[in-house]
Amino acid sequence: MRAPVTACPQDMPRAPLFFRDFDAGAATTREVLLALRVALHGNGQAPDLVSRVEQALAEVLNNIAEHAYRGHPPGPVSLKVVALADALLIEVADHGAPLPHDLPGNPDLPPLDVTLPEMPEGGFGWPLILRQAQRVGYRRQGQINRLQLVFFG
Amino acid sequence: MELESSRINGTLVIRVNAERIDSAAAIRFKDAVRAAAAEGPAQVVLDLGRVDFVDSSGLGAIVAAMKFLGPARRLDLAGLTPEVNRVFRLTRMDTIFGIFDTVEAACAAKAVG
Repeated sequence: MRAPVTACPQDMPRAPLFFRDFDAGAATTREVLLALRVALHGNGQAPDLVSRVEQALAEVLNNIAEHAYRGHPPGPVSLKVVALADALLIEVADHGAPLPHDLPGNPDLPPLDVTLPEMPEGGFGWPLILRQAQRVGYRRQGQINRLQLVFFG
Repeated sequence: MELESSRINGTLVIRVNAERIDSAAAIRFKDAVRAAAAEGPAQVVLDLGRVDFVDSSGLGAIVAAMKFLGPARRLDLAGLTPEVNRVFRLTRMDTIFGIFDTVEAACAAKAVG
């Protein structure tokens, strides 16, 4: 199943279940994901949903650290998670470079019918995001990237 | 990244004693596997039984380990948790690696084939 990408994300509707401001980077990403996992389990969210959210968000946060802030010191990231009746709505904002135009809609996996030396070691991030979230929305607002993900339980 | 190597029936088994192979760990993981598998049998099994999270960086590091072994050697995976198994399935990497429920099953498969 692949998530359709909408042009204009919605406003975050209510008080978040989880909220965190931090600097992009591998160590902070791990720390925030582990804290989010605990918060979602504590909130009674289904284990499969929690796992999908962690997987997709890992890719989003890695992309921000490695691409949006490439060549810059670690910049700020803001993560909000809101529980809806039947879904989790997640917004990630950063001040880095905008997403390339052909992302975030491209779900294609890197080709695997290649020789061993050509076997891909990257290019899995967006396909993983689009295979685990049911909705993905992106908006460039001034100097800010806003990415919204919706996960149904 | 702590790895533990052992030999079972001529197969090199590398157990990953960590819960995450993520972007914070991927480079150290790659280096540690290279060191552990630099010499040894053609058959290498990576025991992922303790790992509950692999992101795309971790996946790339496991692919790099396979490439490091070269065409004459083979990297199989064992003991994948459901979360880790899903990453391999969603990226179709489950078609590239031999994936076994247990280390014993992976080693037995090696003995036959």
